[in-house]
Amino acid sequence: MPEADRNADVGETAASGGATAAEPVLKVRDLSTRFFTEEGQVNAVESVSFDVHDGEVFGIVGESGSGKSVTALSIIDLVESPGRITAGEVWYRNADLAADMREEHPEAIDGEYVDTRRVPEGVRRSLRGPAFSMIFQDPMSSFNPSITVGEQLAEAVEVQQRARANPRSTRSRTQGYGLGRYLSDWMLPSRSFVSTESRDRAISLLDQVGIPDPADRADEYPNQFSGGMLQRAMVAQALAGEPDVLIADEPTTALDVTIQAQILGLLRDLQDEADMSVITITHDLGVIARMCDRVGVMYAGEIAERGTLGDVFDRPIHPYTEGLLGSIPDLDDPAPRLQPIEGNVPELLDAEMGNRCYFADRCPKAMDECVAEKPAEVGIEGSDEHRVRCVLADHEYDPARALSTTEREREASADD
Amino acid sequence: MTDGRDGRDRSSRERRGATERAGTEGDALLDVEDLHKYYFERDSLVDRLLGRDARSVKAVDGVDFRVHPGETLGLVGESGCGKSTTGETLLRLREATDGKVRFDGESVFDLSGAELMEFRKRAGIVFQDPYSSLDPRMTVGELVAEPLAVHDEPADAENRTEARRERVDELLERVGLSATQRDRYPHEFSGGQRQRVGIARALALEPDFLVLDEPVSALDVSVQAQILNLLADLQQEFGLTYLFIAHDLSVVRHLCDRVAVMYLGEIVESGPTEELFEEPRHPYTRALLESVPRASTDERDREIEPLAGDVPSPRHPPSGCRFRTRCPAVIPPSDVEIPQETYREVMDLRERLESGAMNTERARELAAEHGNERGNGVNTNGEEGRVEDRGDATTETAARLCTVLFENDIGGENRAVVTETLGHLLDGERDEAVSMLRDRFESVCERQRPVLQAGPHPAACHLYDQPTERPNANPAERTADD
Ligand code: SF4
Ligand code: SF4
Repeated sequence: MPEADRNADVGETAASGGATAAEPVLKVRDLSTRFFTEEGQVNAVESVSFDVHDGEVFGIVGESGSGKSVTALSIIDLVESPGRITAGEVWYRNADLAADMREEHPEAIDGEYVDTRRVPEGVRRSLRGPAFSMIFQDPMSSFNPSITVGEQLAEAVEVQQRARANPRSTRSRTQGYGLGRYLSDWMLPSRSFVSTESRDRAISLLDQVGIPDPADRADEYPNQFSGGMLQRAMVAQALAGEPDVLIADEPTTALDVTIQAQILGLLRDLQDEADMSVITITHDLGVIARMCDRVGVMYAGEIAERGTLGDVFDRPIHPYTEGLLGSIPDLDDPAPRLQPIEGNVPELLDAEMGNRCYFADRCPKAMDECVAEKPAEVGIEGSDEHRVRCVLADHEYDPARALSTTEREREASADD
Repeated sequence: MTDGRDGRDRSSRERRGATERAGTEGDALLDVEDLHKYYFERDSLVDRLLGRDARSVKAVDGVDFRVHPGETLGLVGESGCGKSTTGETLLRLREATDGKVRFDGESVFDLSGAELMEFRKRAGIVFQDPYSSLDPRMTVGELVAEPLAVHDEPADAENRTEARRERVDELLERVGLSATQRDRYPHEFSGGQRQRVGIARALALEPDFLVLDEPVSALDVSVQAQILNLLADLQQEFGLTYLFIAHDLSVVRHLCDRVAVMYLGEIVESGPTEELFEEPRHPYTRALLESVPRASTDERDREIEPLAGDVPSPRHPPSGCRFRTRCPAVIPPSDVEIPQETYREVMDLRERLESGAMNTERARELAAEHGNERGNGVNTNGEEGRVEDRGDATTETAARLCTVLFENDIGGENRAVVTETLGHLLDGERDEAVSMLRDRFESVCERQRPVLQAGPHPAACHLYDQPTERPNANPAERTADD
């Protein structure tokens, strides 16, 4: 493979003008999110860039503390204090919205793209539902336990309709329930105000996600649903606004493997039918392999490597990607011994995150240059989209320059 | 006191020697026989005053297995299958409802006093959650030393405090921590390090046997691999015997010599790991293996047939085979010819009828939704009679409903029976509907509880050798139903 695009600029902003359907629906550029805690500043997401195309499933895989979930929350603007998005752009392709906003916020518009970071908060919030919606690991967090599932779905439908009609007023008793910010359910009457049409739509959503006897189930409360059924109901809730991008954060982690298979099948079917784009966030490489077209591997707040599934699974360059793949026992071909990554995931305290490769203290191929400065993200052999943040993209491992144990320990000392 | 303990130590050493000899002859270190653990709900005084019957939850319902010295037996299943309860019950951390457990030839449930203490020394546990299983107020050194203190170990040391400290340091180093971390608290450690502490603690009394209860499922994959390698090394070095409880099949395949698969309180299949993964026999095991997403680029195109539905409640486990409500291979009566997928649909319809999810009202609604021009013709006064005697309208509605309800082809006599059943249901005759379907379609899988065969790779399923069917209820079947 020629190395033509090795130095292509990733930091480029939205294509100027004339975006077509072939352009990505979402372009995330240099997104950074920090948490300002008592222990210090935590760099949870560090200059993350990626594209999501129409009708594709993009996966973000990483271990705990890799920043994958915060990345998702940052896209949809749900980062809570003490966290804050400190930099970056989230370009969303929507010609109508771009036309609406061009007058008032020209800086936020580029052709058909709108930088959702630069439009007013009310507009950004109104995108939750019709543009982006999210499902979480724990479906209980998305439902109010004291209102029937059907009513909550019907309400989600109405909120979405209102949001479309008037981008500045979106309030609901249920939206963002788990985040506990927008509502306190005891203040609100638990009587129904939803229209028959919304209720019908709710039932058809339940039907769409494969809930049997949806009309009866609509009258039940969340705790009357099994885990798998509630997960389906949450998917239905996320579909209420007919989003362009569905973000699924560990959608099956809490489920048993046979139920997981059902939910993954459901998400794939829905994505096919509705031609949605989906961002799947998970720690499970199997889920990535089953769901995704392209994938980004996150480590310590950064995307270490990204590309097509084949780039990342079959031609990984970054030692962390290799390590992750070597750590999981293969169901079909058990290796006698696993190849774990030594050490532990860093805590991401700003004070400890120097200008170096963040994986250096655990990397079996760390060399002097890895700690001299932070490697840039560059294109590499494979598909056009295969990019990696590692010096090995440029030259092979040379044992003569191997990072000595003492240096490595000095690097790691902050973590332990 | 000291004398007594020395005496016990000697006898225990002799016993261990005996085990080693016996082990080579194929004796089990742990022998679990017909273990039951029921929980009882609605069992309070108030419930009794109100005359409510206690309801049993059959968490573990007649489980048999053996673990041989030096081997790892995997106990695998989904949440609620009873695998963890089995582990805790056989260690006497929970009281068994029924059954026997023999450890090194002695009946564990009959042990008391010094013998029980000895058993606790020899058989330990590592829990899933290193966060909640360690007292946050104790240092790591204290945590690892605690079992030593409880058992007055090391017994023969002159300076016990000093000896204990040495032992703790040794253990910490052995599990990949540093002795200098002795005075730190659990919260200062990462998840993987905390699990190492949990392992050091379990090793403190030099056990022969460990129950590993989901020891890596709370950990990140890179750290999980470290701990799995550590557990394998420790087993080698100390000749440990493991009961490895897990839901992750890849991990089980990697670590275990033999595997037992649990579903709803029972073992449905067991066998040597390689054989069980390569040639799974029980339909549940097959579905389980098929469901695991593989981390490879071929995964997207791998066809899988996910199991439908949820695991039924252990409060009301299905009669006969507990997997029959979801089993894609459920066996039709020998005199009924029906494609397998259609039979699965018939059984699902029966299930919904019997549970009440499908009732007259629902049936009428459905029929009305799909062609309401004739929906009014439904006979609502529930009169007796065969379909032929009903109004044409009911028969037609029933036929239409049959088409609506079945995705797969259903024809001939099967279709006639289902249509007639639906006619009864539309007429408000639920009982007739239920018994009509049962009469034609009742499966051996619901009449008889399948058992595990003797032999190295048994599967509790009627597709495989089963004792010949008896007309009456299987006496082995427990009827603790409420
Ligand atoms: S930049 Fe160096 S230390 Fe970092 S992953 Fe690549 S080889 Fe390892
Ligand atoms: S006994 Fe019947 S229902 Fe149970 S697993 Fe075997 S075929 Fe399926």
